Amino acid sequence: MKISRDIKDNLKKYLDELLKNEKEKVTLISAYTLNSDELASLYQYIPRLKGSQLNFVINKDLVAGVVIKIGSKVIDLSLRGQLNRLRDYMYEID
Amino acid sequence: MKLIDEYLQKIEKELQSVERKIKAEEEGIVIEVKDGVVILEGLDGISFGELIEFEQKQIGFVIDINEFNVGAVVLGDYLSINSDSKARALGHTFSIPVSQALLGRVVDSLGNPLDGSAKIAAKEFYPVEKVAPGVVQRIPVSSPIQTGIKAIDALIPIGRGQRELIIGDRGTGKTTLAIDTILNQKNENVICIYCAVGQRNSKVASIIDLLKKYEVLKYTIVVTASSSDSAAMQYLAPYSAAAIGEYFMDKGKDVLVIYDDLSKHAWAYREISLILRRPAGREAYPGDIFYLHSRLLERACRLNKKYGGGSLTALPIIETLEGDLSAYIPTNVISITDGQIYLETDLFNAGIRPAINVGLSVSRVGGNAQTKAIKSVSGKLKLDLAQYREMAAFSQFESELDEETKKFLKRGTRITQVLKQKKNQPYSLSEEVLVIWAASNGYLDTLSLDKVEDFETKLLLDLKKRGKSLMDRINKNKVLDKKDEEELKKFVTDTLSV
Repeated sequence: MKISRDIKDNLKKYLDELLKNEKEKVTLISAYTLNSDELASLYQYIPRLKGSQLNFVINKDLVAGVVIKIGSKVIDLSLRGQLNRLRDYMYEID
Repeated sequence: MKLIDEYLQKIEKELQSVERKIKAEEEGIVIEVKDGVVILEGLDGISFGELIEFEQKQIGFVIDINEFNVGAVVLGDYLSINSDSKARALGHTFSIPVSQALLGRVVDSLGNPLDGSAKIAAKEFYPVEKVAPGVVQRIPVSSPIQTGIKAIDALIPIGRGQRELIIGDRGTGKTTLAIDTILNQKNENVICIYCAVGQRNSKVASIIDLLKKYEVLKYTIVVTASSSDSAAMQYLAPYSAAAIGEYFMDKGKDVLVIYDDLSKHAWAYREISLILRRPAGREAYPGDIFYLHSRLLERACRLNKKYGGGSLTALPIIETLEGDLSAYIPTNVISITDGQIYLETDLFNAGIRPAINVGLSVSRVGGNAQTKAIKSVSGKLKLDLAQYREMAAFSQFESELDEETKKFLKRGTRITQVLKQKKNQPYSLSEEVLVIWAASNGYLDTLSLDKVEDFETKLLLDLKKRGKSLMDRINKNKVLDKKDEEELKKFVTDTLSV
């Protein structure tokens, strides 16, 4: 069965349109629910967050701070991450 | 308390020196764990050969990137890694620490010490996978590496920067040949690296013991990935050894690297490739098995003066089955290297040790590197041996031989006898030259075969006692002139008449 060129082009256009509207998916992990003030300061530092689709996750293990996940990229701004790094440094010094 | 204060101070200092910058890290999640190989999702921006660190602190090495996932080999224990473990990209390719402190040490493929001593202190890191020096940086092989083995130095000479394959069945003395070469570098200012791939730990231990006994460990580095180590470690060991070698080469040193052996290295890579589901080719090896060895051996080279003038000589070892030289891996490596030393079981059992098959062994570039002294005596030797082989084949059928043929046969057997050598007893240049001179000039023709060895020891003893100046002269000038020959003739006739 052959699909007519017209339908193909239209379908492509439609899918492109959908993709354009799709926002970047970002997961924001924090130790507790962030209030609007905290969110506002985050937006100020990372303007890119405003235009993306945010997914909030609560994880008490972080102790404080946030972890931002964009695709496979991870920005660790949590206290736990810093403590982990400190532990690694201490381990390396002998 | 004082100790803790000191410790805290160190940490504080370290933390201040570290740049506290926030940066995005690539993260992935383990979805599959197979024998030593881990398949991960995520890690979108990772590149080939990059290192990743798992939650459990193991290091992984990316060797496969597909559309939706990434394959990595685990360097170390992979059993503690489970699915859903996180891994982060470290952002650099695999490198190992290199420094002068490596000399005399035993390390694994990652540069971690295995001899129970301190961690190797190093400021520099060398990439394990590195593109070999190009044409501009190289010069032809011109100076010899003395193996201390008469048969090799005379007939199959090896030059600094050459790649000479040692090939033969199991138990034919391949490793012994290589180790003897290390032993002979005592006063040659050559740094030796012995890289054991998939060897028994007991064998490596006895080699280290031997190196210690002969006091040569101080200029030797042993890189080992034994048969109990993971395939990944075995796969990486030769490249690590080459990286260590390159460090010393870049410093202008001459380096000798022994890869023992590359058949097992090919097995390790085949294992990894099959687990990664790469298409299997001949003998189930993957398609890039040739490149695996060619890129390793291409790193052997002699640099020109502008780049320090160092060299890296490679002596890869290949184990054949039933003397089959036309198997896949042996043919590959033969075509890559600048010649091969072929060891035969039959010769070994006949008592001809080192069991070198002189007819099938060649050195494609070493001839230019031979010293004048050896060259002057070995030319005739080669011719005599070739004629002997031809006639020996003929004389099997004929009972009546003319005098001329008999003479050739006699000379041939004496030369074969004189090329025998006990293991772990490398000869100095002068010893080699003098013994071969006596044989190729026909002084041994009158001796019966079983007396040849006796004569050799006597001659060398006598020379060491009375002819010290002659030997020193040859070792220093590396030539054998008319006057030396006259003097030598006296020694030989004296020994013969005793």
